[in-house]
Amino acid sequence: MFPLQEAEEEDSPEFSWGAKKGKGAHNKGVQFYKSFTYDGVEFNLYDCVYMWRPGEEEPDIGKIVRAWETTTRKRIVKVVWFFRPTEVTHWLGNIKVLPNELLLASGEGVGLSNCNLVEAITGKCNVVCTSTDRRNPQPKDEDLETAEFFFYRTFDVRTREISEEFPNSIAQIEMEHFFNKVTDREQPLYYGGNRSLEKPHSSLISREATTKTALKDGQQGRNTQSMLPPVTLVKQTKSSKKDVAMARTDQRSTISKRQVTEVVDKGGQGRLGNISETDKTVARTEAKHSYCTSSTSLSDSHALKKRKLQDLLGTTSSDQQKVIKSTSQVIEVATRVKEGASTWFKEQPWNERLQVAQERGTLVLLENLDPSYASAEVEDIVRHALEQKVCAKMVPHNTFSNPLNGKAFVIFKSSKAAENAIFELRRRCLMLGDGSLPSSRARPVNCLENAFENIVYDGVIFALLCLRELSRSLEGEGGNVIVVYVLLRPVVARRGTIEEPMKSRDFPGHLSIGKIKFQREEMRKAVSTSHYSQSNTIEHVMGVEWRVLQEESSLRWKALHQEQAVEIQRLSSKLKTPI
Amino acid sequence: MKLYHESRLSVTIACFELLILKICLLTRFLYLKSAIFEDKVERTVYIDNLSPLAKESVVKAALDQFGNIIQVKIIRTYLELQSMGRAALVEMQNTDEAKTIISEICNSPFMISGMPRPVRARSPVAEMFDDRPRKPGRRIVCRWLESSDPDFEVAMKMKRIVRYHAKEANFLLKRQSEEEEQLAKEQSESLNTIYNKFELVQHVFNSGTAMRLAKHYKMHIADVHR
Repeated sequence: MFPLQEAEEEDSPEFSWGAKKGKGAHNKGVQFYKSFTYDGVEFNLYDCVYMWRPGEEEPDIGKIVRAWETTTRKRIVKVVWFFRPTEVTHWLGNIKVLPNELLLASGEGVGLSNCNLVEAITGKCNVVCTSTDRRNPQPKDEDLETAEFFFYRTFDVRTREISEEFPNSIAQIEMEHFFNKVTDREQPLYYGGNRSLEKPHSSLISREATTKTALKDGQQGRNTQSMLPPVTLVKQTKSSKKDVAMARTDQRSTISKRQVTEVVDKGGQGRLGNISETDKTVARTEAKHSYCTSSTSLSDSHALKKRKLQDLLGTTSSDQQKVIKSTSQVIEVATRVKEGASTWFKEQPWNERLQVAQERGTLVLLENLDPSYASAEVEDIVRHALEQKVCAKMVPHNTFSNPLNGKAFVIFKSSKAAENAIFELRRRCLMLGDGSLPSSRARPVNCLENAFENIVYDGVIFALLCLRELSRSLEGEGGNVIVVYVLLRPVVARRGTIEEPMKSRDFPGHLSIGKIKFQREEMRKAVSTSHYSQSNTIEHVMGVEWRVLQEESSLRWKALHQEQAVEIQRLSSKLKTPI
Repeated sequence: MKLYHESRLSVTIACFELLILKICLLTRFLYLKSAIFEDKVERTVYIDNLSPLAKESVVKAALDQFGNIIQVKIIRTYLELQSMGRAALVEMQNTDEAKTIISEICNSPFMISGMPRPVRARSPVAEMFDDRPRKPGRRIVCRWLESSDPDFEVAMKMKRIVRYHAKEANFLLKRQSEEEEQLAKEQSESLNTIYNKFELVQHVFNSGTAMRLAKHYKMHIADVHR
């Protein structure tokens, strides 16, 4: 029995069970354990571990509450999950969250705990509970400094509530096990905590002591009063340390809010620079797929159905006006073109207008549009989304443009409008889609019969017609290009800059022999006429070299675009709600 | 009274029917427009790696041998480096001519107004034309996402990835142009050395050195016309 186990463990990381805990009640073949060693690291019950899901960038964090081996020699651990704040942003709302904070799952339902194979564990995690619940031993300074995460709130997976009250048990495990471990200590434990300023965290105590002594030397009998200034002083110097857990005690004073944002600024990841100074300060880590989607799917399915219905009808009431406008706009623009191409005034050619716009600062470049948009559609979009009248033109693709990404130059009326537009598009996200849903592609088109009623619902005729056209066009695409159905895409905007056309006559690859300065007439003509190269000339050999380079480059671009398409597809599949 | 209501009803029905008719006609018009455009795309050839010196007339003269050219349009590039070469869209009379050009140019190097860098031809996609019409019946829906939206994070991430991709593309483009310049330099050097050799040989013959040497060594060389 044992030699067998060792044989199969030669390939995988080492594993061995630790102390036994008991046998299963139902199945005598199941053996529970208190600890195990995996890959050289010892894991005990109620340790926090990292578990990695393929496809996610960041591992999940959970607390082992049970470990056992089944009769089939499978090693299972039951884990209660911690939620990262980004997974529950929807229910957080305006609640402040700090980086490195976690939320313990509680309640009943999907997302509370899972049973996983031991092999899914990727490492131990140091999570400290900073709650002031009276059952929780308060963490010491060293614990806080070495902790990777902390938690003091729970997230109920059933009611979706965040609370600082801890229930008696989670997943039938006593709550005490979820709090900090009681180890043998000489110092008395602080059970529970006082949130008042009189008893700040222990690491502040030492600082306070030194300031107290300093004060004692100076002024006598004013200690109690002068407690506040030195404490605040200490707190402000605290902010220079990266100790995030300190921030918890600063919930009282207003100075602490500034400090929180400072700490948040330093602790948060530099990429997300949109931290404002308001109370809605939230430092977010990168978003990832939430556990709660599975649990929310049931409750949200009603909402989803309703939304689908509204989509067919043409979005929610607030957007109805816009959609009406856009569909009616389609008609209007077309008729305008039909009526006459004559314009009041002759517009400057597009090149000059671009130049002028760039000088004035009214030029904006929109990216990540659907590449098959026409310029007029872009103008419509800007008109409805930003309420600005603009002139737009799509940038034509060339051999190395991303086939999924469409760009357009947009000229606004004023540079202030352009700046506003860029700011809005950066701050919020403008999602563009075509309102089509996978399920509705299969619907037969039967518009004329119901035309009468359908006129009442804005744009449904168009919707039905476009569904047919869409399905046809999408089926028609194929070939070498990966067809990625990116149904929703956020628009990216930035200042438009155009390259100055190069005036030089040099073109790499067009060679001339330096010595022949004064070419004869025929020779000059021979160069300027276009021709195939003959295979016995140097020209041919060199030409072939260039062809090789060209083919190489086109292959490279193809590979890059494929990879980028896969990345975008992966992200866009995480979008939960269609328009 | 009843008659009045009925007539009003019939009038409104007629109005609605007219509206339906108008919409149907319009969509049909849009379909037609897009069909014409698609046909044009089939007949066009996309040429790039053109020298900046090549004008429309030059390109037209170059490709005249293949068939009837309807229109040549040189594309202004605003975003990419100019050193990559210009591109042109050449519209032929029928699809066969376009396909012939593409296959011929792919098979053997074809040079326009300069050597030895050949041009590259491909069949274009609709996105390469900036005067393309709307896709008929397409419905665009847009929505603003606030930061409280559950999708906000994903959308911000998408935007970041798009910008990152753009940077990647820029980098690849720069590498490509560096490689091209490198190849051009190498070829230029080899060309110059070959020419020097050639000049040397020419000089030997031209200055009569070869003849004298031949007489001296009593060898026979054929007469070489200059």
